[in-house]
Amino acid sequence: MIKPRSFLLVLASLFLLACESGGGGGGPIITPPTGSTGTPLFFTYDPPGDLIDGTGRGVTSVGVTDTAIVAPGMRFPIESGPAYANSQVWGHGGAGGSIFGPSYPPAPGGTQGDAANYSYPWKDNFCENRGWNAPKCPAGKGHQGQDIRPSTCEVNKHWVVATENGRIGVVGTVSVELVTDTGQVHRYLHLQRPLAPGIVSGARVGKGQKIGRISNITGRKSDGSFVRGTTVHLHFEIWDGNSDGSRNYGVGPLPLYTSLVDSYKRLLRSDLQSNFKKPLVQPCHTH
Amino acid sequence: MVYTLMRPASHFSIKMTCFLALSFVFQFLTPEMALAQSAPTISQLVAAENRGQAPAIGKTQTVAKQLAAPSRDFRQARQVRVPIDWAAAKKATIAYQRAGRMPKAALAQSVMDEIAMPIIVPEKMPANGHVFGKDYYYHAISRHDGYSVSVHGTCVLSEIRSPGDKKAAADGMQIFQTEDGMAASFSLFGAAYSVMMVCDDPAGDSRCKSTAFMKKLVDSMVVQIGGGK
Ligand SMILES: [Zn+2]
Repeated sequence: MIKPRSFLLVLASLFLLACESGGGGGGPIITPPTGSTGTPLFFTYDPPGDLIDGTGRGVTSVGVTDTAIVAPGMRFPIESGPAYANSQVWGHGGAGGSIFGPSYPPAPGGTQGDAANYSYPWKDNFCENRGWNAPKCPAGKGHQGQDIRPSTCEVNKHWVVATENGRIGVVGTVSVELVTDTGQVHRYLHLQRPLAPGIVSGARVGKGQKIGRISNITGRKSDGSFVRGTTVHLHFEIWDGNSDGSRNYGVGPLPLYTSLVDSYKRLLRSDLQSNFKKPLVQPCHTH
Repeated sequence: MVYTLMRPASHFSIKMTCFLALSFVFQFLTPEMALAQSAPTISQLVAAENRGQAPAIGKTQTVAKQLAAPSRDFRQARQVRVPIDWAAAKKATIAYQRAGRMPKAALAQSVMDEIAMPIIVPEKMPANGHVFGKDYYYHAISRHDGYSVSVHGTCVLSEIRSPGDKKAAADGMQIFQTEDGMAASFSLFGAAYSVMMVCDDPAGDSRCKSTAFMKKLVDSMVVQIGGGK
């Protein structure tokens, strides 16, 4: 049974944990959670394929609307909630349409620590406009995964964990592959280095085992230094063989929003049961 | 013996016999010699199977890879196991073997026996590479200068519909950029594959945006038959 007190703690922890990056200059400004900002108490999410208006390839608003869960039973990739799946490019602090041309909408401005980035509802951003191909997207091009912000915008704090039992595949500068025992490839991007102990190519991992901490790394220069070219978030992809019921389209990046929603609900339920007690407001250090 | 029964031959008849004999032998040798010089590349094999649309998946078998807690909001994608065209895979494997193209680092027989699908791996698979998998899927990883490569193969497909499917079909082998490199996505011998090039410096290394480099990488791979076939 869930005690009323612990239930309240969970509700409280599902409040916004907001922070302002302050551009690395003036230190963190902590915005206490308030109900008045319109932050819902409960987890809510917009439907799959419902992109921010005009942010799909060709200035559309529709991604993949098929609600099929491609990774049933997977564990949510971030160790603990709350977490916020939404757009980085078109969120506060994102570059917005300026990087794609005038027909795409601008980002709302502000910084990545804006309260709105750390609030529900979740928003699908698979197939959000990108120059590269995504075979499952309506235009054949788009964002190949889902972006998820951890509870705060702190670098090197929030753990990602194995979504299934499996083995570590390629460990790149930006990405880590988990080859699940169910036969899929789950890709985790922008993790801080070094990764968790034992996370090397070929290593066996158990579902829920720590892989690394969320960061903002997008590359590594020849001098060995890291390029930190994005917001603090996990970019997560699921690659698997796929068909439309009659034809074989090979192994590619699949729509994963519904799999994430489903696994997040299970995480919240288990958090509720384990009475997780977390500080409501945490400092935010972004570099 | 035939030779002992032959009468001594004139110069002309010897020349004619040699010519006819050579012509006779040559017509049989030509295809074999061509085979020995070049086996079809992976992209040629894909194009031959694709013919302008993604190959039909044939008679499938529904599999429940995993039992999930039922979701009230969404349905679970149907997962089907597709049949392998072993004859085509065997033909390709023999062509690579005749061309002298084999993975340089031997794949462990125990691993090969576990994987019930044709395995595509880099011909120059370095000794530091790994191949692992089971029954319906495998994964091969190898480290190269400035990038890593992973090949993923599976004969279980998730059913998910998208308006992008037709476009994907027309292209046969899809070669595209990823967040940190390049990828190729295709079906062959009935199974599904991807080849991923994961770059150390995705923004600074021009190979990581090159479709030509990626195609060359895919075509440097060879086919091996697993599953005790
Ligand atoms: Zn992303």
